[in-house]
Amino acid sequence: MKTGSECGRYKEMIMEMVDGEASAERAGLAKNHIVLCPDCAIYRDKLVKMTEIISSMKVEAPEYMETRIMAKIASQKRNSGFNFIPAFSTVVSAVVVIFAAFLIYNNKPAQVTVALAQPPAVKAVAEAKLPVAVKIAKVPVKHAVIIAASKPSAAVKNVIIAKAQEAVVPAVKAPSAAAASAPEIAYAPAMAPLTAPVAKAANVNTNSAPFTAAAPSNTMHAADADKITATPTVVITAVGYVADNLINVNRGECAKVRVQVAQQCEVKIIVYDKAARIVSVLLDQNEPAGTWESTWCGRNDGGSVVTGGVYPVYMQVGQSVAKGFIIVTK
Amino acid sequence: MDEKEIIEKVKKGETKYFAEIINKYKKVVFGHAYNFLRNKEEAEDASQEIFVSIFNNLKKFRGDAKISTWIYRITVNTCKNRLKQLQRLRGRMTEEIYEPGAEEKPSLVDRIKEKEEKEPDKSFASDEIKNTVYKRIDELTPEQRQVITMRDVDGLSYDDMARVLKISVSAVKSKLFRARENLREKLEKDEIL
Repeated sequence: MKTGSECGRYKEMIMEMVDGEASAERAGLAKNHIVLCPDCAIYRDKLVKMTEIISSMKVEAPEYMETRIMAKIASQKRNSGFNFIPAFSTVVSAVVVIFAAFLIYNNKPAQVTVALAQPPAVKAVAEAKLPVAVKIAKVPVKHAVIIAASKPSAAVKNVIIAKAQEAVVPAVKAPSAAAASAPEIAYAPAMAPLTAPVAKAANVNTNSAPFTAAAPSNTMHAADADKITATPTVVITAVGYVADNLINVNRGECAKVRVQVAQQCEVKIIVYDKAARIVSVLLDQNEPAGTWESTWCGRNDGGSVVTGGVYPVYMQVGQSVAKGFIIVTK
Repeated sequence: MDEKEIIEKVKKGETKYFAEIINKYKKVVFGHAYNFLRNKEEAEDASQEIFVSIFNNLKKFRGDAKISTWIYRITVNTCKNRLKQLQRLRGRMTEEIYEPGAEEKPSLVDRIKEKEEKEPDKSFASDEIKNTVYKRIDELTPEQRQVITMRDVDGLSYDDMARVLKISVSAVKSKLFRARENLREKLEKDEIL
């Protein structure tokens, strides 16, 4: 037996020889060494045995492998493309949700439509050709008009108010005439300040009186113009509408509910809660023709402040019915 | 149909021709995966992963190298990565199921010898030896296990191994020699060699 380091030099050659990868020269050297070194001969035999054992470990691939892989590739191919069905169903669901939300928040009767598509106040503002940026957002379905001038000067505000009043007041002054024409009710935006005194009813929560608004003068103060931007939304329904429908009871804010009566009939204005329980009856009596207004300051008939939330308002004028809503915050 | 034509057809979207590639290489791929991972289910999953990867990347195959070398390289890399994941998992599991005193049990070879003395059954002994060899191969590093599998199971030449592993032939020889020495020592202790 030769020294370990000397044999070590030949072991790699023996490995190459066993694998059939040794060059003729290296194979010859390995063979000569094995003849002289019995330990390296044993080493070669062990190496051959080991490779035989390992090479016998070959396995056959399962028959179903091809089917399995092709199925996987096919499913992957299907998933990689744009799938129209989920996309379409998502869009449809979104539309349904939006529509449902719209219905919930509006509760709009069907007959209110086109007549308010181009409200006089909007026309008036447009005709004024104001030099400031006036943002007019029309929501035709909701029939709501939001007018917000970005810091207009007092003079500009006066022009806006005057033009708006000119457009609004004729309709308010002669409700029956307005009713005879196209719209079922007159357009009366919340921004029009009520210059006529509103008679207060004995009930603390219920204020109702015939609305006999005289045409306001054009010499309105700039302070009044601030009310324009402060007014959030006017929600108009068939027989009436809810103005200032977002109220904070802690700040003593009140919502206004106005109904238009064409001829003497039974008029009801009732505020409900979400469970359809009566919270407050604002008006329930026969009223002559005219515009009637009630205010609700977020208290029930017992005088207690209600909790925050959405309160549907039921308005009935004769056979016509309308619903609005008031949002109470604290 | 020649292999290049098949590849072109698959590239053009005729997926069904990919079945021919699977048929041709499944033995090599599954064989390598099985001997490398030592688990049939794992080998099947790995084979599926390999072929899906081949299919997805076929457009990138430009034909500079042999398709067999390219497929084999994907196989080797996928199996190596999978083995590392498995070893991490097994490491955690072994810690959980470790029983003190287990090392005092008779060795596998003792049990094999005992079994052979009682019921001389060559096939059983052969399977047991194979299992021991598998076990000892499992104890090698992934790199050592890789070269042994490539050479002794898959029968690759030194040149092919160098091409697949992207190393020199002398580096292949060196790696293979160290791996075999390590395995031989283990099997000698088990008295299998």
